[in-house]
Amino acid sequence: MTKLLQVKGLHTYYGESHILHGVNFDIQPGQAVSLMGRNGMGKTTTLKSILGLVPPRSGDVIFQGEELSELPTWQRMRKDIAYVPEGRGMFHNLTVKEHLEMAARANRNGERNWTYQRVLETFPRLQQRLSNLGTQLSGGEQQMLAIGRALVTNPELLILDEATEGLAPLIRKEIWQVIRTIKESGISTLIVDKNIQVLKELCDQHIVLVKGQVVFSAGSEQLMHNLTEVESYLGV
Amino acid sequence: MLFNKRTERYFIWLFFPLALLLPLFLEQNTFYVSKLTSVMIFALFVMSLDYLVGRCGLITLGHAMFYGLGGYLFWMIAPEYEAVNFWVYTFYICMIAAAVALVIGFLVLRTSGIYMIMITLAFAQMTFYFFSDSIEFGGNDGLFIYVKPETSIFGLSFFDLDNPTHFYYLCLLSLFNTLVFFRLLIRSRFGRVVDAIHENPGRTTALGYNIFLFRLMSYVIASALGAYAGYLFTLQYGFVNPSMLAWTTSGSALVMSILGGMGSIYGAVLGTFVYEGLHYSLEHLTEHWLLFMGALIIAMVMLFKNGIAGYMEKLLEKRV
Repeated sequence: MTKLLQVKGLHTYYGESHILHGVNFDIQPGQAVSLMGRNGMGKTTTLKSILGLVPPRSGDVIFQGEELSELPTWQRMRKDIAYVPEGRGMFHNLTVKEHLEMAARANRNGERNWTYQRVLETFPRLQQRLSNLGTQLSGGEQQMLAIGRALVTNPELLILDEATEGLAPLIRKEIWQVIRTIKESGISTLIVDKNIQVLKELCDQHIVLVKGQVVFSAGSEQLMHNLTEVESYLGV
Repeated sequence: MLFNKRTERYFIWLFFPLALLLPLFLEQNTFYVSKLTSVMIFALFVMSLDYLVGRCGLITLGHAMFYGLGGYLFWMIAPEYEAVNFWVYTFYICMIAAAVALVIGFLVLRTSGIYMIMITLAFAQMTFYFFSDSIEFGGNDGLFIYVKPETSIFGLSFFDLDNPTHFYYLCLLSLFNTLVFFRLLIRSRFGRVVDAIHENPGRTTALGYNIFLFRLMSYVIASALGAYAGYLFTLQYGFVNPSMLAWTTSGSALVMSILGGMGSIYGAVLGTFVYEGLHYSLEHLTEHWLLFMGALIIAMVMLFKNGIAGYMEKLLEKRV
């Protein structure tokens, strides 16, 4: 089976600071992959390097067999990758409806599995907030909108950065349920989060970063076998 | 609803009917009709700048280049002693200005912030000195337009451009159309993406949008409309000169846009009328009118944080 995403030897710097020291991992089609690590270990930088928001100095990002490294961010996203940024990334000057309308597009095959309507059915709370500005929503609603905005681009790969951070337990549960639904619909996901208990059930593959290097990469079964080791990396 | 803000609807219902009726009361006084016409033309120009600055976040000090270009282009492409068709030449001038904006925008939009201000200023100054130093373009004195265009469409002509009242109504129609055009543009998907880029370019690029292309298209649209305003100004007074291209023209327009409420579009009309109203009233009161004008503008900018439109919206809008 062709790999959906291949990340090969990423070396990323912020100025002179060497952040990623040769990060490698793959994602298979339909897989949910977790990316874990303590704060400052390079999780968000890895995501930003994949998207070209922080271009790596060396290394390759190959998506569906296509080299992305030379492409600007917007072209990479047009290859059917969607990103839900940390902090939700709402636009202060757009309403809920406008957020979804401006982002909606068919994927490269011309398919629109996730429409404006389907997002509203998935997140009924947003239906009642259509004319609210992005910033006039609760944290949970903002997260739902951020995920909805990513889904209407009809991606093959959805990248979620700290999607449940700072949310109330009930809302968190709701968000995890939605991520499960997304996975079941066949979209591959790369999830950065700290909740190992949920991730071990939800994800097929787990990657742990320490100081910009992959120190653990395995399936859920192996994660369970090495739980103590992984937890020590995460400082749990 | 096209005009979704109550304040904007109030403005439209007050301004346009009043402007429609005003010439009936000023029949004897063509001076005021002409004065109001030139303010409307400039308001159209300020609106195009307001879109660039307020909606796209592209601060330029070179927008007057297109205002002047609108006038010079007409002189260049129209036969000197023959009445051409106004609508056809509107199309030509907007298209040529758009092509020029495409080239200049391609270079200018690679920069941002203070660097963009400097580069747009540099382009505007280059154009200014080119026209003011060229004898064939009339140098500092500029050029005269001897014959005004005719305005027939399929043999029907509604406006006689030599008649100040007719010209007034043509400019009023242009102002209204431009306002509607911008409102449609802002409401469109294109407009939403432009708003998103203004708010956060990085986030918008991560949604798969080529922000350079959207900025370039906005620059081209605003420049073509800026040129249209300059073309109207040239037709009104029958001449074109380098002062239209001067950076101070861009500067005044920027002040009017800020005064009116940046990005609100209709605020540009308010800002222009208030600025020109103050200008006209004060210069008849004292020779130090600029001093008072400056003080009043400072006071208004400090009082109305988001311009006159912003202040009025604060009073009238009930946020959902």
